Amino acid sequence: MWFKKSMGALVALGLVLAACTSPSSSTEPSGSTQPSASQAPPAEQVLRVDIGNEPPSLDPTQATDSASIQVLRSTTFPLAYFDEELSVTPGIADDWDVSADGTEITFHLGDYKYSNGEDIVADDFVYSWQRLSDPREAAGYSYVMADVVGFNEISAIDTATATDAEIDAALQTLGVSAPDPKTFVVKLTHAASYFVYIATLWVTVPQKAGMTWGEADGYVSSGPMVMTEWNHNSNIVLEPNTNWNGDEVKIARIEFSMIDDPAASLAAYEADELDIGGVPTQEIPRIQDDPELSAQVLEGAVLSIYYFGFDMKDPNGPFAKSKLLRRAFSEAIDKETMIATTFSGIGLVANSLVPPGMPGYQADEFIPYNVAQAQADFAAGLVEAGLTEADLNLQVGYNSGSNHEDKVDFLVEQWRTAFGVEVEAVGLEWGAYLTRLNEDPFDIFRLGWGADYPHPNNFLTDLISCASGNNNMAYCNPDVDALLLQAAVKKDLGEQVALYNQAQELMMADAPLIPLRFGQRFTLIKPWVQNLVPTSQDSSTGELFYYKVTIASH
Amino acid sequence: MLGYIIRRVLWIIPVLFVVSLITFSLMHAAPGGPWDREKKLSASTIAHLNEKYGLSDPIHIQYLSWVGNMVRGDLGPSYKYIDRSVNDIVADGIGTTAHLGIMAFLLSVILGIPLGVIAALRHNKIPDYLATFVSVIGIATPSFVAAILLLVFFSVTLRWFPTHGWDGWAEPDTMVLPTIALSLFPIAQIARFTRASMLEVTRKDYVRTAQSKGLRERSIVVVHMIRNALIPVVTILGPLLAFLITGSFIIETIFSVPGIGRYYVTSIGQRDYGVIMAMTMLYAAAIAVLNLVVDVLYAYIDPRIRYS
Amino acid sequence: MSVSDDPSRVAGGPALTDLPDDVSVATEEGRRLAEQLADNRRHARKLLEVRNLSTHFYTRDGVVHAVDDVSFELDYGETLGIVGESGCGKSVTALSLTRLIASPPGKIVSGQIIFDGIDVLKLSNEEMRLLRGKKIGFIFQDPMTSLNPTLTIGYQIAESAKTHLGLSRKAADDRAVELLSKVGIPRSRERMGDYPHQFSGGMRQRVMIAIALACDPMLLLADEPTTALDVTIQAQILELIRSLSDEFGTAVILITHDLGIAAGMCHRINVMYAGRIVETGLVDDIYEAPRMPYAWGLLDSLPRLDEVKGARLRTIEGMPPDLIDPTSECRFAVRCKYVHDRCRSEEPELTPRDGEGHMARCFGTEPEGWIQ
Repeated sequence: MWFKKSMGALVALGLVLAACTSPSSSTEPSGSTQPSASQAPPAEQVLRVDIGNEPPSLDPTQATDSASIQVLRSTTFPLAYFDEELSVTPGIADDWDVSADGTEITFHLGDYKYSNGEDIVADDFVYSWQRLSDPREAAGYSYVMADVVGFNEISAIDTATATDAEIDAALQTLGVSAPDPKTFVVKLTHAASYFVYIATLWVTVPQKAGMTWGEADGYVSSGPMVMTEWNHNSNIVLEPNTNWNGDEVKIARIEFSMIDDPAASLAAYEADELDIGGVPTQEIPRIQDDPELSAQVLEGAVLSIYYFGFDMKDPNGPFAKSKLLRRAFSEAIDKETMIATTFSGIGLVANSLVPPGMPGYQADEFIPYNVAQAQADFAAGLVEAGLTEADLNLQVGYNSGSNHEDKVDFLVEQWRTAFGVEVEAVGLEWGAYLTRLNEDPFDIFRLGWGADYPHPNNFLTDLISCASGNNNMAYCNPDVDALLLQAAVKKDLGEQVALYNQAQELMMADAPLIPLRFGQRFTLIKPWVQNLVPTSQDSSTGELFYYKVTIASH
Repeated sequence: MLGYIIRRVLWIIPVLFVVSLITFSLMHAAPGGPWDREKKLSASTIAHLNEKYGLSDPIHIQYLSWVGNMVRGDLGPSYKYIDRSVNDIVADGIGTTAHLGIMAFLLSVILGIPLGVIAALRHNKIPDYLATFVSVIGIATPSFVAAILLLVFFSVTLRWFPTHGWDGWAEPDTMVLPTIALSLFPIAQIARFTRASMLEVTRKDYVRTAQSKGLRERSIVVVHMIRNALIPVVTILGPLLAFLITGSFIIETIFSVPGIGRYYVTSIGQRDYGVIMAMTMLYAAAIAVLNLVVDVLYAYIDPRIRYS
Repeated sequence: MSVSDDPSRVAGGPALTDLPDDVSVATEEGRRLAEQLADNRRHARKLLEVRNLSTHFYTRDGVVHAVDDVSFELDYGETLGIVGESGCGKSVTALSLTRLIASPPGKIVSGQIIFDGIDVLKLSNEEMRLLRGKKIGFIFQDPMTSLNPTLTIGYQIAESAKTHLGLSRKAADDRAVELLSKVGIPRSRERMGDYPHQFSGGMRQRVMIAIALACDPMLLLADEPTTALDVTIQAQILELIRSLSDEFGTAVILITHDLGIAAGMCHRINVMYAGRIVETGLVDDIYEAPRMPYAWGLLDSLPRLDEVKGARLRTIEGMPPDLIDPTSECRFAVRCKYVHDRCRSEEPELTPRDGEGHMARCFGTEPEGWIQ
C-alpha cells in the first residue's frame, strides 16, 4: 500500500514518544518476556498467528493464496507430506508404487478419518481430483493436474456450450481411480518423477461431495486441526481434530488473526498479542538494533526468487535481437549492494533460478557482476542488434505501491552509470501491470516466483519452458525444454538434478532474465514458542507443522 | 415538504443509476481483470472462470444482468472470496462499519463543535490558538500516521488497548482506538468549520443587535450565534456521516476492524467487480440520502428555507 | 439649551402597560442599578454628558482616530442629530456610548460618558449589559441584516422584556404584541411567529423600533435608521420614531448623513467631520446660519425645491482626511474654499457663535475672521 513506506519512521517515532513518557513493559519487574517456569502455572497451549487477511477461500480446491494455505495446512492432509528437511514422507498414503514406465502411481492409503468421524477412502481423492479438474470449478491450481491422463481434454471443454452431463462424462475419463477403498491410482500422460510432489499440495487433499467451506459451521477437516470459529475479517480458531490419526497434536488451540497492515501486525507482536510476527522491510534495522527483539529473530531460506525479465516477445525489440545486450544489463548489476541497501540486507544474491534449499541449487555465478565486461558487451550488443544508443528508449516496468520503487531506481542508476543510458521506470497498478505483461511486456520487467513444492520442476519447467504461461519473457530454447523433459523421466533425484542443472546452465547462458535475490525469512518468534518447525517451503514460518508447537510457561 | 422529500427520494434513483453506469464502465475499462495473478492461471481456466461468472457476455448484457440482480437484492458473487456472495460480505461488515462510523461521528460532533465555538469566542487568544493548533494537526496528519502512533503508544507501550480486533460493546476497549483515530480528522474539520462560521456570525449585524439589547452573554452565544453558525456546519455533516458510516479503508486496515471499509481499496486492486459495485452504490446511496437529510434539516433550522 | 423644561415629563415616560414598578427589576444587580439610577436622576441635570471622548481603532495600517475629543450633552427627552459624511465618526460615537465598539480593534481611549448620572466607562460589563436595551435602545441602519433570521420576530422583541423586566414568557409575549401594534404592524398577534424574511424592509425597521423600545428606554440611539429604506418609507419610519419618542418621552440621538432629515426631526444638531464635532447648535441656527464651511457644503448638497430646474447638485470636492495620525491643521482645510495659512498651521477650537449653544470650529467665522 502507498502508505506503508513511512511506517518505519512512524513506529520508531511512536516508540520514542512512548519511551519518553512511560516505562516500557520490558523494564517492569514482572516482565512478561522473562520465563519463570518454576513458579508459573503451565502455559495455555495457544498459538497466535497473523495470516494477514481474510482467507479468500478455505475450499482446498479453490485456495491459491498464502493466507488460505496457511490455514489449510493445518485443516487438511494430503496423500504425501514432508519431513522437516522437506523430503517427501507418507501422508494419508502409507506408501506408493510407481509403474516401470513411470506413468502410473498407486497410493496405498492408511487409516485416517475426517473430523466428522467418516473414514477417508480412495473415492474421496477421485472426487477431489476430478473436482480440481472440473472446468466449472475453474480452479486456479487446476494446472497441477496437467500431467494426468484426460486433463488437457477436459480443460479444453467450452463450458459455454457443453452440458453438465457432457462435462460429468468427461470427468470420468480423468486418469484417477479407486480400485478399492484403500487404493488410489493416478495415470499420467508421461513419466513425471516430480508428480508425487503434486500429491503434497493442499489442492489434492481428500474431499467428499456436499462438504462446504464458507463457514466454521459444518467445515470438515482431514488434517490435525479442525476449524471451530471463523469470524470473517477478524479471526479463525482451530482446535485439535479428535479423529486425527497422524502425529500427536500438541497445541490446544491456534488463533489466526487477520491484520492487513504489516506495521500493525508487528505492533500486535510487540504487544504480546501474537506469538509469531512478520517484519516489514523498513522495520528490519530497528529490530536488528533492539537487544530484546533481535534475540527473537529467526532467519532462514525460503524458496522464492525476485527477478527482472527481458522482453523477447517482440522480435524487433533490442533484447530479443541481442543476447549480449541481455548479458550486459545483467553484468551491470551489483546484486550484493542492492540487497544490502534496498532489502535491508535480508536475502541472498541469486545468480540462477533454483533457490538454495531446493534440490538442484547451483552456487555458480553464471553472469558475474563486472562493469567493464558489461560495457564491452553493451557495445558489442548494439552492433549485434544493429542499433545505436539513440534507438534504445528502454523502459523498466514494475507494479507500483509495493516497495519496488527503490529497487527499480537502483537498477536504473546502475545502468545509467555503466552505459550512460537512461532507462525509464514505469510503475503500474497491479492489475494493469499484469495485463501489460500479457499483452506487451516492458523491455525489462519485475516479477517474483515462490515454490508450490520443493522440486526444481516448479522453478524451471513452470517458468522458462517454451509453453509455460508464466514465461513472460517469451524465452524459448528447445534444448532447455528437452532437458527438462528428460529430467522428469528419471526416478533418481540425483539424476534429475544433473539434468535440471544442465537446463539451468543453458538457460543462464541465454540470459533471458536477471535473477536478483533469493528469499529469506526474517520472522520474530516469542521465546515461549517451542517445537516450531520452519521449512524453506513455508510462506509463513512453521505453517506445515503448527500442530506440533508447544507453548512454554511465560 | 412531504412532496419535496418524495421528489428528492425519487431523484436518488436516476442518480444511483448514473453512478452505477459510470462505475461499471470505468471498472471494465480499466486494464486487468479479476483473474490476474503473479502465477498466471491457464488460458482455459480463465475462459472457464469468465464463463462461470458471465464475464464473457457483452458488457451491456453484463450491466443489465447486474442491474436486474441488484433490483432483486442480489449483489452477485465475489470473485475473490469465492465461497461468499457480495451480500454476505456487505451484511457481515456493514454493522461493524456503521457502528464505528456513528461512534466516530458522535465524538467528532461532540468535540468538534465546542472546540470551534470556544476558539471563535476566544478569537486570537490562547484557547483559540490551542484549538487551531489541534485542528491543524488533525487535518494535516494523515489518518494512517495518527492511527499507527495511537497503536504504538497506547497498545504496544502502555498496553491499554488491544492492537487489533473489534468486539463492539462486548469488549468496549476494542472500540477506543479505532474510534479516536477515525474521528481525529472530522473533529478538526468540524472545529475549523465551526470556528470560521462563528467568526463570520460574530460580525453579523444581528449579533450587534443582540448585544445592544443587553442580553446575557450566554444567551447571545447560544441563541443568536451558535444556531446561525451551525447552519453551514450542518452541510458538511451529511457527507461526513456518509463517509464515516461506509467505512474507512485505512482505519479498518490498521486496527483490523472487520468492516467493509477495507474493500474500497482491495476490491479495486483485485478487480472484484461485484464488491466494487456494491461499495460504490453503498457510498453513493449514503451520500444521496444524507444530503437529503441535511437539506430537510436545513429547512428545520433555517426558517428562510422552505421546500415545496 | 434644553427644549423640554419639564423634567417630570421624562422621568420614566408613561408606562406602556400597567406594570408594577418592582416587576422591572429582575435581579439583585438590576435593583441596585435601578436605585442608583433613581438617585442619580434626582441630582443630574442632563440625561447624557459626553466629555472629551476619543475612540481609536488599532489597525494594521496604524491607529485610526475615529472619534477624537468629542464632547456634547443631551437633555431628558431631547432629540439630537449627529450629522456628517460616512466615516466621520457618527456611528462610532453612538456605539461608544453603549460600549459596543468591537474590541479589538476598537478602544475608547479617553473621555467620560455620564448617562443619567452614571459614569458609563466605569461600569462592569454586567452593569453595562443592564443599561443596554433597558435604558438605551438602539436602532441600526440595515433592517435586513439587523434582525436574527432564525428567530421569530415575536421572540426577538420579547426577549429584551424577559431579560430586563423579568416578565414571564406570556407577559413578555403580550408586551411584544402590544409593541408591534404600537409600531404599526397590523394583526400583530398573528405575526409574532413570523420570521424577519417574511417582512418588508420598512416593516423590519418597525420591528427594530419595537425591540429598541421594548423596555421603555430613556435614550434611543437611531443610527441611520432610514438610509436603507425607500424614500416613501423613510418618512413613515421617521414619523414613527418621533411620535413614539414624544409619547414615551424618550431622548433620541439621530445619526444621519442627511441634514434635511436631521432638520426635520431634531432640536439640536452636532455636525461631525473627521472624528470631531465641527459645529453644534439649535437646528434653526445651523440651518439658517451655519458658521463652518463644511456645514455649508452639507446644506448645499441638499436638493432644494426652489433650485433652478436642471441645475446639478453641488457636492463637496475632495475626500475626508486620513484619520491615521491626523495633522495639526484644520481637518477641513484641504477641501475648504476659504482656507487661509492659519488653517494649515493650527487647528481651530470650538468657539461660540450667535445663537443658543451655537459653536463652530473655524478661524474664518470667528469674530475677527475673514468669512462673514
